[in-house]
Amino acid sequence: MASPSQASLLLQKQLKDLCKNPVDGFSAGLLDESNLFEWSVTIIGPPDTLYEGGFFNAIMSFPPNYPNSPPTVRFTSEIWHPNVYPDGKVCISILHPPGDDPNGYELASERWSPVHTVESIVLSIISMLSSPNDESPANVEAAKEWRERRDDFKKKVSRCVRRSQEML
Amino acid sequence: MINREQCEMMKLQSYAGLSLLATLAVIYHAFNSRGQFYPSMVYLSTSKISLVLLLNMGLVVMCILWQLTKKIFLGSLREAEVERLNEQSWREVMEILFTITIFREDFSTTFLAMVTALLLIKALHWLAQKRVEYIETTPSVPMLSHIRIVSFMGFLLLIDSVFLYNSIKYLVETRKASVSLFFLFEYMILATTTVSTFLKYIFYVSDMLMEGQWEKKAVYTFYLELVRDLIHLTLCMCFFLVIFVNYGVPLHLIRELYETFRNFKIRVADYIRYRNITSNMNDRFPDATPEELNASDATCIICREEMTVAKKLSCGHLFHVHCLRSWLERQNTCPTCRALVISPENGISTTASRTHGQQQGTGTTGMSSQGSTVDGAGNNNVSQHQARLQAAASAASLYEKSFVYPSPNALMWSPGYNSLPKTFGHPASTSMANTGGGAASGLSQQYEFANVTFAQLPQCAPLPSQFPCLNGQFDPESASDSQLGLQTKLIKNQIEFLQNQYQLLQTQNGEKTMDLGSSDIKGKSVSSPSSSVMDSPEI
Repeated sequence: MASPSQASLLLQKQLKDLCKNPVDGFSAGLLDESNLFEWSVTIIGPPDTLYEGGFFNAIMSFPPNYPNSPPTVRFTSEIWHPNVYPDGKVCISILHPPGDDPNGYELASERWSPVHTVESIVLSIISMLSSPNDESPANVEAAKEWRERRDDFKKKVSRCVRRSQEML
Repeated sequence: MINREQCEMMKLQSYAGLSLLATLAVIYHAFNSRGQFYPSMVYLSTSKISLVLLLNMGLVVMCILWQLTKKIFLGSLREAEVERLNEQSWREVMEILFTITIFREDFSTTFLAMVTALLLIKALHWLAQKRVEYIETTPSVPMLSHIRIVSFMGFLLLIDSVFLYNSIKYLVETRKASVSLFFLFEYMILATTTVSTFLKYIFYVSDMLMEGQWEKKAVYTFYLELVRDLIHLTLCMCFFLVIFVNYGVPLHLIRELYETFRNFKIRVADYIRYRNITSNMNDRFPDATPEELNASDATCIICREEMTVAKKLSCGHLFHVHCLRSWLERQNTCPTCRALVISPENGISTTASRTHGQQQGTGTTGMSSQGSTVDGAGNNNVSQHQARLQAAASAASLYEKSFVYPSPNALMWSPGYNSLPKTFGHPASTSMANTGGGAASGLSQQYEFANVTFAQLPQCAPLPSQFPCLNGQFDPESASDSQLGLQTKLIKNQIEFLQNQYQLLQTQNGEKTMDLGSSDIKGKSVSSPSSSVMDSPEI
């Protein structure tokens, strides 16, 4: 149980770092200037993937005891991906709380660790976009399409990409 | 967000307006067609349409009251709060429907009204909890928000107790199981939740008044949650039993009971782990040396702040004490490399029965740290581990290096690992050559070496008391003095400074039997846990 000030200090620091040295592939900032715990992130669809050219907005909400607990990430842009729930929530192992996975699927070593920062999380999400993991899909429909009817999948993704461009 | 809220407000307004119109119309119709007061009342309460419209009006009134309370105490809701509200209300509605099936004999308009009121009050409670969480995490909260939330919690508590009082009164008067039981239970849970939320808020405020320096806050919060969960669990069980006896299986309670039970279980497990970790945090992990701090960039990877003082895990990574503690409360692995942190039992067992325990201690700690590198980190780490072992071997054979370990409490493996980075690069040519080979020959062999070392000192082996044991070990050590001359004198000076004589003794002991290769690390590292107990008689 970290004191709240620790979490906000850490987030403040990361915000400053990201403002000073922006990282390619995404931009990040606060959703609401007074609240350090809700970030708004725009991920640029990684080149040479189906998502290329898209601008996907996501909200990253940090718990009070960050960095001991992981944040949650939710896409606000429409996105069609096996590892993103239909409501936009991102499902990747490093965002899952530490401890044993009740389903025994993920190793403890793949889960959350306090060393992750906004940057490392977003980079993981970008790599998720370029290589979906269809073994534990969050969006079963999308995973099935990705596996069996790649053309339909591509079509849906490019529609999302187009929409994300229109939203700009 | 504001737009959406305004839109919702508009909807509610038009809905309320329509309902009001419909109600007025039906009342007007009743009076117009019946002419007199009494018959029109009869009409209003018997005609289905008018009944529905009147109930609808009641619902609207409640919703308006609810919105009003929300507006006064909370203002506009945040995204997360709305989300929680939506999520939880569906579940709650489902459960309430189950409840209605159980209490179907008592079904009446009052019951319906009470249930709706309960639902709305519950929703206010969730919002209060969320809001307190939010206030806790926001750096600067205006005074008005504080006043609002405090009065809101007071208000909720008042409502809870009014309803609680009513249901108790009703139960006492009728002395018969009825739907009041259900309300009694629900409001008791709500009241305890409010109290605990309020206490949490108080903790937060006092922490803030102490400018975030109140270290005990986490502990108190922890106990508070433990007690709250315990109370909830007991209440749930009681209610479950009562309903079961009087009505049959309470379907709506199964989820709640299961959830409270699971929460409580997790809490207890957390508690045990927390105790294990915090009880000997200082002893379990050695402090990092200034050199080590300089060698890495001296940033705690958990909070990304500078470290002036740091603790070191067996895998060699450095962290702030408080950062490490708050992480270890959740998981028993190194945040950076995920190697298992040695469990505290080993440390205890070694101190328990000294000389005898030492040998056992070697076995267990050796095993666990070996295991950790294997499962936690993969090849890369194993090779690092090898490197460390070699470095540790060389470190152990150098006196100057041993005084680098500053902590009198240093435990287990740590002394060996402590000086790794430097000593590895240290031009300790001869000793390196000797010990490196020994280390490479594998851990299991080292255990044997360690045992041999102990066997070679028959005086110390069977004795649990330290004095004779120390003397026994001291003699051979002073014999080696002549061989090593200056270096040994150096150490002797440093003994006092270190307050860790036993550890040193073993090092020297190992030094003497240096040809045994890496056995000396073993000897040294094993000795360290008990060292603090043993230091007095030496000088």
